[in-house]
Amino acid sequence: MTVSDEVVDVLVIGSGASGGAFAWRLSKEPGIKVACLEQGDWPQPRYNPSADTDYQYQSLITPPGPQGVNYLRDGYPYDHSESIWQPGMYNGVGGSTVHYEAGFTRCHPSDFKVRTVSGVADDWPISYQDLEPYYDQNERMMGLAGLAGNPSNPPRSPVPLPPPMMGRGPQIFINAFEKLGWHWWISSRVLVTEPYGEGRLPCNYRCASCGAGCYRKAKGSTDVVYWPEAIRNGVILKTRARVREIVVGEDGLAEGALYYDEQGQLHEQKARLVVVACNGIGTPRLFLNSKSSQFPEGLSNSSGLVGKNLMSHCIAHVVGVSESVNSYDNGLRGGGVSSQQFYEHDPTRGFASGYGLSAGYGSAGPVETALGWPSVSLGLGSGRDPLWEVAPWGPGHHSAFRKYFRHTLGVIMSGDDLPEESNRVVLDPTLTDDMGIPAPRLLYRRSENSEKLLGHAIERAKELLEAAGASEIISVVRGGGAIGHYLGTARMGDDPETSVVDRWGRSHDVRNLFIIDGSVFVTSGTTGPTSTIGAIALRTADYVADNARHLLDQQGGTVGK
Amino acid sequence: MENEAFLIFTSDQALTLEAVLNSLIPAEGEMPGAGDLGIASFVDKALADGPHLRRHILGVLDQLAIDCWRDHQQSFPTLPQSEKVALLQRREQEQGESFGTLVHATYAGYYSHPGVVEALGAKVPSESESHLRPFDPQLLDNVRRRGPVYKDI
Repeated sequence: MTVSDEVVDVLVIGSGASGGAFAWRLSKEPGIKVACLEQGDWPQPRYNPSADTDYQYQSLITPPGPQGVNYLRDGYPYDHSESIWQPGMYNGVGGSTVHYEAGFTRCHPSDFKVRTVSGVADDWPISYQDLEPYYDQNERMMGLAGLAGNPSNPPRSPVPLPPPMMGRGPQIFINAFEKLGWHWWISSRVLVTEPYGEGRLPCNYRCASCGAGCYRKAKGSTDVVYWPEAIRNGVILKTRARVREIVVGEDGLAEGALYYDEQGQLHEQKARLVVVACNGIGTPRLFLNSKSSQFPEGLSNSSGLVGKNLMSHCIAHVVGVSESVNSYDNGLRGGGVSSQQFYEHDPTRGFASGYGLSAGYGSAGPVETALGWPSVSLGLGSGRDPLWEVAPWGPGHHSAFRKYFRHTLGVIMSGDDLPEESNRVVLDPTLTDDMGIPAPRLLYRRSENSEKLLGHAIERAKELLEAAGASEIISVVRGGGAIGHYLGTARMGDDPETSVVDRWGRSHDVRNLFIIDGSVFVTSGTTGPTSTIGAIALRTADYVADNARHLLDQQGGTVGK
Repeated sequence: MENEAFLIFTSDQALTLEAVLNSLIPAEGEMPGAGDLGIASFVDKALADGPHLRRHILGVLDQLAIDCWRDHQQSFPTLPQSEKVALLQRREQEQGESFGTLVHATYAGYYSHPGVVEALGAKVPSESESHLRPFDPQLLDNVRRRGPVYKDI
């Protein structure tokens, strides 16, 4: 028997980077009742920074999670046997902002006009200027630390917080960038450097990675930044609520969602407006699982594009070593530096679009060095391979260790990933979660453009490492996609035949249904998506708030009733 | 190893483990072997607190014991070092994942041991002793002088 919950005006599905921002913004509108369904629970940040002596032990005894990432729970199963990369999702309040590294850069104006600039892919129906005020708002809320005036971006408002402290590793790369005459700037991260917001303490630089959450609330994640105020303002956040499908009525409008509670009881949450924020894998999975007589191919899928154009970012790591370099900061991790020298499209390079280079980390600590890892959070059970050889056991161990410890330098490159319909999310024919909901199956191959882009980026990374003093390159890894970057699978556009949602994220097929997560991206952007995802969500929230009477009255109800 | 209470390992397993650890990370110069440093206790506690580790590490030790008696009719700790290495290499080949878990646990214990951390000069400074410094914006003067590097659409 289905339990019927109290009807709300707006139902948000997902509480991450987009769901949190959206719910918060809408909670400020008097008279609009908002509920959110979140599959997972509140995160419990590891109260155990990596600079503490107990950290390695805690990491060792923590068993791997179902997706092979050792601290992420409550995930749903997926099949990635036909994908070169494996997702690493956190299904809980805050979503992937709980485990990301807080990188927070804006897309460039050109990222929204890839077709105009490079002649491939498509242009977005919106521009950088459309998102600019929402970038500002999201950065203020999340707590961006850095410096304005970066010549790789248009002029902008002041950055809310001063840049972080710097250690040896980044200084080595600053000298290298200057030697090469390349653009560089302080890496922008939402990691507060002063007391900020509600009880957020400044980062004390004692964790080698933000990947296990932040016990100081220094990192901007939506469970810390948006959700407390949203809940105080009256948003009903239901955790451990696993949505099975979105229900559509005979009139073709969304009526709400069916979900399982923690005990496995089926509920129906009715709403006048449904807003989906489940990321570029979860959203198409939900839509493809929401078939009906009106939508036999999946909800809002008259274009046939739901699930298609799956994008991540092309990633590669290059590590060098030099006996003459001391890049170790004694377990501390200050600010990093990055370059957008090769960000913009340049037709002479032989591929479309570009990439960024990050050189934020110096030498790993002793345990990580021995295990071939630059970052403590990506250890046992992470599902990832080491970046350099695990120090051999036996007689050669100490000399191998001494070669690397204090002396490694690493560069990460992240490049634009262009849409291809063959890269997609479909429903697995047999795999389901433990409630019988069909799991997603990822199909992804790296394109020829991405291979050329990565090749170019790797050579520039080697050049940078040489300028930084590296005498030997010890590792070149073409990674899979970037964990947490799942984009494009319900793209926005003005034409219903070539897009799933319009420029506001509103479904072309279902007029009271919105998508606000990275699914709506048209191209991936040459930088991390989190900042842009939050800006899109805030912009759509403003649109919903400004048009609430019209949007909510479609269901026959009135605002505030 | 005498009078040391182990939570998981039997006394025979503990003796074997100590010898294994000294083979994985042998003594060299000022750096002690992992067994001599007492890392067996670290591994034992990890198995007690992390049950998912047990089948790997106990599995390697159990198979090692079988190999020793079948091939040499004596226990692992009593073998010449060359034989110990050969047997461990076989375990690495035949039980790759489990052997890797053992190596990981060994490295985690060894390189987080306070004595090793101090010997490496890798001690994490207190907040008041941190060498991190405020960023000097003047370092960006050349970057600013070079002008915009974005496309103005």
